[in-house]
Amino acid sequence: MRRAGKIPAVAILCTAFRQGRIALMLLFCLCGFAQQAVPTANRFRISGTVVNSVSGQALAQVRVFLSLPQQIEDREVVMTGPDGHFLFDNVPAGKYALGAAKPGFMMQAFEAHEMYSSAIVVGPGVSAENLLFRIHPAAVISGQVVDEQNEPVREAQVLLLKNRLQGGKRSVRQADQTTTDDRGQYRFGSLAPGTYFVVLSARPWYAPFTAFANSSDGGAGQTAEPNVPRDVTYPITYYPGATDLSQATPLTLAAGDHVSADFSVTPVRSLHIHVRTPKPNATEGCSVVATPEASQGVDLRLPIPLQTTMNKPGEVDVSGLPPGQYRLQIVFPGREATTYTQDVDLQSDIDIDPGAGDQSRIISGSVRTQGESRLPPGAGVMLRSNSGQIAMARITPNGQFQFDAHAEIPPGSYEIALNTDNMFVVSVSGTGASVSGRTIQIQGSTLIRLSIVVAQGFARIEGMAVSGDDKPIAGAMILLMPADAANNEILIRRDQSDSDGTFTLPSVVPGHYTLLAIRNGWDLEWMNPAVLKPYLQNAESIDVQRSGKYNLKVLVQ
Amino acid sequence: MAKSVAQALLDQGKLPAQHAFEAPLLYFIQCIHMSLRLLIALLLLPNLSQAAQLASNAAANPATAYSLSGTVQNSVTGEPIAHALVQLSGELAESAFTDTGGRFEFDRLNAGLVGLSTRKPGFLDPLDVDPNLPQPIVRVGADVPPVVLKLVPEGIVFGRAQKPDGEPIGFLTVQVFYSHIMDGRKRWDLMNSTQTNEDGEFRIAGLKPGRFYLQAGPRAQPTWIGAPGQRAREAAYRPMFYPGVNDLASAAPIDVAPGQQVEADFSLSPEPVFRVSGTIVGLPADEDADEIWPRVQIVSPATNTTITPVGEQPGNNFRAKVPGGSYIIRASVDTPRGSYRGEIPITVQSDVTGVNLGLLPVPPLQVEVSVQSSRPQPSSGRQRGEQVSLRLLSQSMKVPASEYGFTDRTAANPMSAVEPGVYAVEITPISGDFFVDSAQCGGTDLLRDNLTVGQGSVAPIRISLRDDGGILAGIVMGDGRPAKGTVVIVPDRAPRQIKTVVVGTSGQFQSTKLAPGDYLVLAFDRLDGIEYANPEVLSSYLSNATHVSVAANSESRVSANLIRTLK
Repeated sequence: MRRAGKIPAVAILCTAFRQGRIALMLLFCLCGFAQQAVPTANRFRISGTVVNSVSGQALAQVRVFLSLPQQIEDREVVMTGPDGHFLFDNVPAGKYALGAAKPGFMMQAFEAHEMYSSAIVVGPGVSAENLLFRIHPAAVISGQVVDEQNEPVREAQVLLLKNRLQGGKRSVRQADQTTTDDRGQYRFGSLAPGTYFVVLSARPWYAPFTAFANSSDGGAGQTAEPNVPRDVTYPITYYPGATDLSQATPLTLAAGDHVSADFSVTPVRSLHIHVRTPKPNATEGCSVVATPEASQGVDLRLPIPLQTTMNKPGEVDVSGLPPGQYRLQIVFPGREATTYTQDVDLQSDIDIDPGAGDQSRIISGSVRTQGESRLPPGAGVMLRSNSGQIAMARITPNGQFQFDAHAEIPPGSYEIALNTDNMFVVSVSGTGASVSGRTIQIQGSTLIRLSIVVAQGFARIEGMAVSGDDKPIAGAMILLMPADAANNEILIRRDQSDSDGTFTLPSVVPGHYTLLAIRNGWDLEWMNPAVLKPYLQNAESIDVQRSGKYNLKVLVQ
Repeated sequence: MAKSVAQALLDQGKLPAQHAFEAPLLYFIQCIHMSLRLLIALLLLPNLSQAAQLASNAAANPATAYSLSGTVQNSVTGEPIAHALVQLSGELAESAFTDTGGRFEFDRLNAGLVGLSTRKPGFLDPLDVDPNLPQPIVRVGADVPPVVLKLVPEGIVFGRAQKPDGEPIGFLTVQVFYSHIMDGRKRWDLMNSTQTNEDGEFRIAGLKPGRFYLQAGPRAQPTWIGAPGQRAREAAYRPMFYPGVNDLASAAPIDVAPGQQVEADFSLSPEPVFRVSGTIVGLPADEDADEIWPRVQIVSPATNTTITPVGEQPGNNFRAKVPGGSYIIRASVDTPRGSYRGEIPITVQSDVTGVNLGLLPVPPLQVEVSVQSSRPQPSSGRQRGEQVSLRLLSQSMKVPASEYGFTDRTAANPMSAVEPGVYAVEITPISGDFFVDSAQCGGTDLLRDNLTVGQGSVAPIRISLRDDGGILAGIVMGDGRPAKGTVVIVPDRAPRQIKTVVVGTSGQFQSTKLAPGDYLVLAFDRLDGIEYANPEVLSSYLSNATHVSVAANSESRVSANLIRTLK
């Protein structure tokens, strides 16, 4: 069962474009409880015990939530008793989402994996009693940051990266962010078991007060004040003291673990970037944003304070960066502001000459609909990067779209999708970027034109995961793999079989697929063809027709 | 330039707003602050010619043979502070760190005046704590004795929020308020705000010594209550002042001395919530529903504090959950076409649905400035229009003072949609030799009475300026000698349009552009911390006040007795 239904997911996506409202929207999703009384005679019971997943101990005062899968806002809540027992009686027949929360524990759905969980099914002849609901005690990473004087570093930015298996791929992604307090201490609580990295970005407390003075002579060689380092910053540091993710020590946390990760930082000279303005004698400078990039394609969402100074007309000095890899985005103001983006491996001072031309990348194209379907108002084309960042362009009534020239769309691989619920991408072709399936590869070209064909008519697959002797299997991973999955990730559909073995794959784009059910499939890197290969031999192929409805039995492997 | 980088980061949404401007702005403010202090200090030096001579000596003999040394100390314990940054201001922008014994030394300095400042995380500049302290200034030369610089250790408030059964309350908003006196008026400000962690703990550092009030709640995540094994209800934490009271009046203050760490724990009980939902009506039909993001708040009428922030969602509907009680639902919508505001009282004892919350367009503040000039005006000068600045000062917590500028040509300032409330209005002519002759809003005399802004439109504010004001000149006397201080000039007919004049050691002062009429004149040794705009506070000083009349186009003279407030 999908825990978050399609509708909330889209709603969250839309709000993501309105800054800062995501949190509120999520909050709203978590609220609410059902009070409606359904006046039918057939009532069933859902009961069980909540236990600590580590100790097996029964847990009292746990809030246990029950709701219809698509209506998690309307939920009933009970408190477990001293024996950890919970009971919902008077439950009408149906499928229900079950969840639990308690301070000090992760808020969890029943048998949750990624965004999927097993729904509880009750009805005539199907009871759901004596469920064992294991919840993980929350893990914590905390630590202290000290400087070269062994004194606490305040307001250091601390990032938590998580090595996670999601969508069949293992990747490292930013999971949380915090700042140190007056004691130099930070803390990431409410962590699920897993493998984490901690990254630190800070600058010396005295840097803002010493960097500006006498900056015209570069700051170095001030004999009069030998004990004050000028123009310095702290390196971006991966726990325990590495300058790159590949050298960092992973912190592997079991449920309930409390791990310390302390940092000790010493300043390095901040590196300088000399930017030549497009107009040779411009007296207006530019604004520069540097996004640090870890290896393995991880963007670190770390604001690094930079100083820009006009050295002389036409040349801007940018300082404040420790050595490392960055994506630099330079905006030259003016009536027609120009944006220049460059990836740099900064190990010494460098010069950048963006040239006279505007380096902004223009991505535009047209959308054609198949059949008689029409795009709904507000429809847009989305580009989704490997790291999950999304750029969107509205489609005009005559089917044209163009991405904002200042949108951050660096070179890389992007999936093309629509922001609407009822239409899908049939095919993509284009110039200026190489296209395979529904994925485009953006390289140096600054002019990209795409032709996208879209259509209506999602299919729907329902079914049951069964064992060799035809018994329903709960909690299996259901996977619908398209041909050429690597370039058509957006077509993949997944579910987790519910307590009666049933599953639902809604919104399937017509085409050729392989349907699999894998017990314990949640630990597989199934996007790796070599990993999936042994399972494909025993899987069934299926040709999904437009608007088709299917009901299938799948053998659990 | 630094600002534009921050702006770029902001534009990209990579930086929370406070962060973007903190570092550069702080720096600039500090620079300005420091140079202003130095300037003032230099101006106030009794013997300027001596200073000038020193400077010229230095120019004539540019030997850099002098040194300056000293220590940095904790102002409370007297202990030396290691690794503090000491900076010289002025032309020699030099820096040094103190050693482990708190000592610093600068070598090869030119002779002359130099300002000193020091900083260190965990400590506050004494001048930020008490602006009346002198800025440390040293005359560099031969045989300068070591300098002692002090830093005030910060205060810290920390604590834990838990339920009566001991379960920690995480994700609880904690806010620190303080009252202070600014421009003679007492006002409440938010000092800092934070959230408890999963263990219910919070910690707020960097506090100046003073008196603070703590408020905890609401919680950023839903809460449920119920007996073991029973059905649970959703609940919420009503915002409470320390140690657990509803209103500020009965709250216990938290007094933080320099360097003190004060623990303030909260024990809070969640209260069951009821659902409140409704529709916002009164928006023009042609507004694009997707573009409407109403801000809805449910506030307690007694304390004006937000009980529940309502999740923003597009369109005209709102839903919220609040504990039982009487509240005001307040909504505001800002669209490109204008702003809308509305509020409605509700009493919640069970679920409330179908609330119709009517919004009205908020017309901008209308101000009409008229000028009566007794002198012939050059025609070009009149083109510009005479400007007044209007300050609206709310006494309510969480509503900061707003300032608007108007000229006699601008009938309305589109930026000035004023939130409902009661305001003291300060009107200051910016240009020319003008004083405010009258200021009316409907039937209200704004020179005497508060401006009440309700729902809907505010009557135009009519301000009349004249230029035949008088001059008040005088001297401040303390212990029979001229004394420095600050003079407060209170017009009888307009007790809130108060003027203040800083007086140097000569004791002489002058104030121009005064409306003809009677005045009270008071002279204080220091003005900060004195609520002189409050008539009750002022009345306690009346025995030391001097009465004086000012006539049009003429000068009156007065001698004012220094009122000593410093120990």
